[in-house]
Amino acid sequence: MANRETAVRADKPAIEVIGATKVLNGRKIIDRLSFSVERGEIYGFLGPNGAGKTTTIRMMVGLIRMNEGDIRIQGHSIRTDRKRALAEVGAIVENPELYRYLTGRQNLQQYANLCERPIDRQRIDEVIRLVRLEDAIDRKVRTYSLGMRQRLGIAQAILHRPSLLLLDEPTNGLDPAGIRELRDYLRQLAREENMAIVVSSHLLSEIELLCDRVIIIQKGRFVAERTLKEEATTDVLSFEIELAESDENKDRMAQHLESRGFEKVDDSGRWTIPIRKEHVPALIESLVQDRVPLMQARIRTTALEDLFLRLTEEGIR
Amino acid sequence: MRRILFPLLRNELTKLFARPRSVMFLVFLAAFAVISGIIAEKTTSVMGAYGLAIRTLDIGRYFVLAFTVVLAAQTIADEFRDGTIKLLLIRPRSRGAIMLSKWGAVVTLLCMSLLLLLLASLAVGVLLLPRGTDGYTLWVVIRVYLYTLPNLLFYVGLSLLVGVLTASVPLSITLVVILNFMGSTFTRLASGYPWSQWLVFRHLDLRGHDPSLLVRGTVDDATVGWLPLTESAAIVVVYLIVCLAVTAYVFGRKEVK
Repeated sequence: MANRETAVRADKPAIEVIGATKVLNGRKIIDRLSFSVERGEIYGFLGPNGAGKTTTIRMMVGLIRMNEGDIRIQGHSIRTDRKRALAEVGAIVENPELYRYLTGRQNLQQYANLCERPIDRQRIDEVIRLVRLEDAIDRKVRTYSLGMRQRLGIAQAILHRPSLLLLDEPTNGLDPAGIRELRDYLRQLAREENMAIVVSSHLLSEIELLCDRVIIIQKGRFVAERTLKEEATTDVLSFEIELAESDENKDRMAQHLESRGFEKVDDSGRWTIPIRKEHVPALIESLVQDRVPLMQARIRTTALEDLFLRLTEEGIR
Repeated sequence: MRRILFPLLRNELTKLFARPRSVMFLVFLAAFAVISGIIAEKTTSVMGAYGLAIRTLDIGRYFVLAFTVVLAAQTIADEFRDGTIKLLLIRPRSRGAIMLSKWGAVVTLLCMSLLLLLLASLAVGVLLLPRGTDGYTLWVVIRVYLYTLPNLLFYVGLSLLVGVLTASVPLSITLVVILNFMGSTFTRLASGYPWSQWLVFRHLDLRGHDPSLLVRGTVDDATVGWLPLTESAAIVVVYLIVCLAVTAYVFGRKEVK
């Protein structure tokens, strides 16, 4: 344990991306991208499809070389100090790639043998318990469900207690219960093992629930970075109501809603209003008191979704 | 060195033997030795156990060559196809060591195959052909088996190189088959020129160097180089090292998209 402490430089961010640039066929697919993530933090990596998320993650683990810039993991450059940098990383790149003809345990043993620091049986058993695969671990991976493979993928990624965990679309193929379980588990890892976790995804609601901070990229470029803490809940949301079709006093209702600042969305009787989250209960109460014939009332988009769409659409224009 | 390569080699061997094909191949080789023994027992009266071991190798070496060449290319191609190459390469291991462990695993299986072929045909020979008078000795048999090794080791290395360059099994096997047949023809044509002694094909069948006619068998004299055995073997080793070094270099530079 002692030499592990010396290998990990506490003052360095878990990962620093510094002006990373990747040129492919004369086109910059990643353009001077920079960000950094501290240990204990869960960082969301967002962008529309084709924005360069997977390319960036591949550069982080040295599967793709960058043309300019650097990526440092615990202070070790992936370009010049690959071995020490990779010793600090656990990752799932795209899918949990596993040897389907081996058992779960044989798979873990494969990855254990590839690590620098020796990993004993005890640690393997511990990780198996952590991802709750005790019952299936001696079966061939071929027989696993996607959720089980995802869990085994995470098990191999954390086997060597990395300080950085990179997960590319980790909720792919998981059912809602599985997603929730993964979320709780990642939080626990960030908190208890003081791991930095970078999660790429296009599922915004997922990222919003999980991450402390997010970065949004588009066409390989930095677009925005936001902290998702309490202040996010005070942001203005889009609140939408839908009226019952059978209402005979449509015009009267329309006037009533307009006077409250609602804006008609379409002819099917839907209306939206920008509102702060904490004002939502009072609004619903007053609508009911005014006998507005509500079919449904809902928060149309999350704050992050709004931000994401606004920023990435601006980028497109 | 041992601490780095041994776990990697163990990984590769686990993968090699987790699928039934390797074991099936060994069973097939044993069956081939038995069948050869039965045919020899019915058709000849002079052949003994040692002679049988040499006869089975004459054909068996092509089985071993084909199987190990496919296996070598496949060990790379499979990792790319299944995406497991990513997990293999994002570990703090040098790609050169990973490459070498893959070659080492296939070579281990290759040696096991030859040993099995030898032991099985000797056992069958002792049982079915106890009164052979063909004059072969155990030392002759061992020499013949050893002389086939450079050929097999080289082609496995070459197949690994093609596997890394193209990630294609069919291409690897095609190239090796073509080289294996064209190589000796080409050598025969070029044998008059002094530079031809640097061609690896000239040194892949070392049987021609042996003083004993029993070992030389039907080896064409024209294809035998005029270099002594040790230098011939050294040339094969140099070719093999260059082949593996190029493989490791290409593998090390390869981007995984």
